[in-house]
Amino acid sequence: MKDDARGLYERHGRALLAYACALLRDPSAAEDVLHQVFLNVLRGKASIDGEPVRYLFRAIRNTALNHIRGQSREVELAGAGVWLESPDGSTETSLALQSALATLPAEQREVLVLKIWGQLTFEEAAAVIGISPNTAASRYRYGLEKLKEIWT
Amino acid sequence: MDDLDKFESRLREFRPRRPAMIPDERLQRLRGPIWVAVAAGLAAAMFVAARMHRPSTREAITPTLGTLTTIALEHPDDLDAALTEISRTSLPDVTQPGGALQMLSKL
Repeated sequence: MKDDARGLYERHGRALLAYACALLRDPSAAEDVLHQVFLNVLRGKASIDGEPVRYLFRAIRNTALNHIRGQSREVELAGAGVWLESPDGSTETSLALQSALATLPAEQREVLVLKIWGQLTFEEAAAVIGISPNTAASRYRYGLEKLKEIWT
Repeated sequence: MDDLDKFESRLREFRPRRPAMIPDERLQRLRGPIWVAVAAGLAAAMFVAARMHRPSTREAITPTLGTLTTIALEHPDDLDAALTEISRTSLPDVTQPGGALQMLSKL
């Protein structure tokens, strides 16, 4: 189980961290959430039910939302460090994209990150969030259009 | 491929950064015992160091009557060892090849 969890962390850690960043707007808190989820699995406090990747995204979501409830202040997504690495290695480009993402409504940003960097299907993303696949697809489309408008 | 697809492809070129390693929970569990082990190690090292620096009756014994008297009075248990040590350095070695005692024994 521990080796499985570590393997999952290796394979999906980046996407899960991106998702936590999209939810929390704070890469440092997002990493804490990611570690908390995996430590719970490694310590046997939580067991992976069903499909592991879907479970992990759901666990990240629940833990991140609990974290938000306990926070009195939100950290700006763009101002708290790079969590999306630009293909040309430019920090400026990364921060510009993160800043544009931060302007999207949270529900659109969430689906966008799950689909693009989490590589989930609309069905899988919908299952993680608890909405219908059609709603997920619609949020994705609106989010993508808005991001294109803002960022390019 | 429409503009939105191209834009999506461009976004996919960005890569989420790699998260830091999971804090090793085994290390956290061992934190207590590790401190105990470190403390025990330090205590052992200090004990050994103290033993090594303790003045010993076997060190640098000057073969005089006064020295032997002092040892006999203050460390009577060490007197035999001190005498053996002094004998080794001050009496002729009968086992040495070509030594005078060995030559005499052949006559």
